[in-house]
Amino acid sequence: MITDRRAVLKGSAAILALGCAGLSQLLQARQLAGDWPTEAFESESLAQALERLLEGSAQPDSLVYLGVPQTAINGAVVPIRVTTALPDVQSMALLIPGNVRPLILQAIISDSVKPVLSTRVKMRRSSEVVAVVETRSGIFSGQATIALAES
Amino acid sequence: MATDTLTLKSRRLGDDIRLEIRIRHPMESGDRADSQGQMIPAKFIQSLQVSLDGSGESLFFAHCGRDVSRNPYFALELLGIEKGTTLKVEWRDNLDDSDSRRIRVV
Repeated sequence: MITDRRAVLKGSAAILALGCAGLSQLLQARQLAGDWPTEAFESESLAQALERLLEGSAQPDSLVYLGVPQTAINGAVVPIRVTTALPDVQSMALLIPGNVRPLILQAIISDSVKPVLSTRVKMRRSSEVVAVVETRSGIFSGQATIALAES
Repeated sequence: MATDTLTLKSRRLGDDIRLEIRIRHPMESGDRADSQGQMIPAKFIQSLQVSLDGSGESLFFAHCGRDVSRNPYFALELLGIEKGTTLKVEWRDNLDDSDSRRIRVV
């Protein structure tokens, strides 16, 4: 399944090169729909999760923003907002290296969606939080630290 | 199939639509024991999709892991959605449970 998905992603990239970006993103979203990337979500390190999810590593970029509380009182419900000013966003992922399995979610962004996502996550301990944005020109990341108040 | 798990709210912000999604779901990671010391089996949402009702065109899609909070909340911003458009939101979890709901945007 994973191999199939990579083949499809590469196919999408080829279409993208021809300039049919909207179509390729749609194909990508449809393909991903049936195929939860098990290996990436079960990874126990940030680097491994990213390698398995995006076949690469991310370059820090100040245009990837994380809206997070400095201190979280309740580790079961920590609000996080990911956004970016980078153009041509294809996907946004959220990772917490302090959790047993760092990859929290990956969102596929079509032309009809702004690269803005708010959600709530679980944290087991104080940790960095990393947002990874995939665009047509590369993979970029931003990070912030959340301190978990002792309960 | 689960029923009545989804609460949707939409609000127009200029040309954009802010869509808020709330899902009633335990999001059990599979790493937790109950009070008797028995492990609680994993049950968590793996995919979430927002599409145009009718054509089925996918606008937003996310894969989730075990550490999205219980009763997940997502807020996103959609572009170029005309008044009266019906959106469909659906989720599916690791045990193949699922639910969907539609909302007409104003």
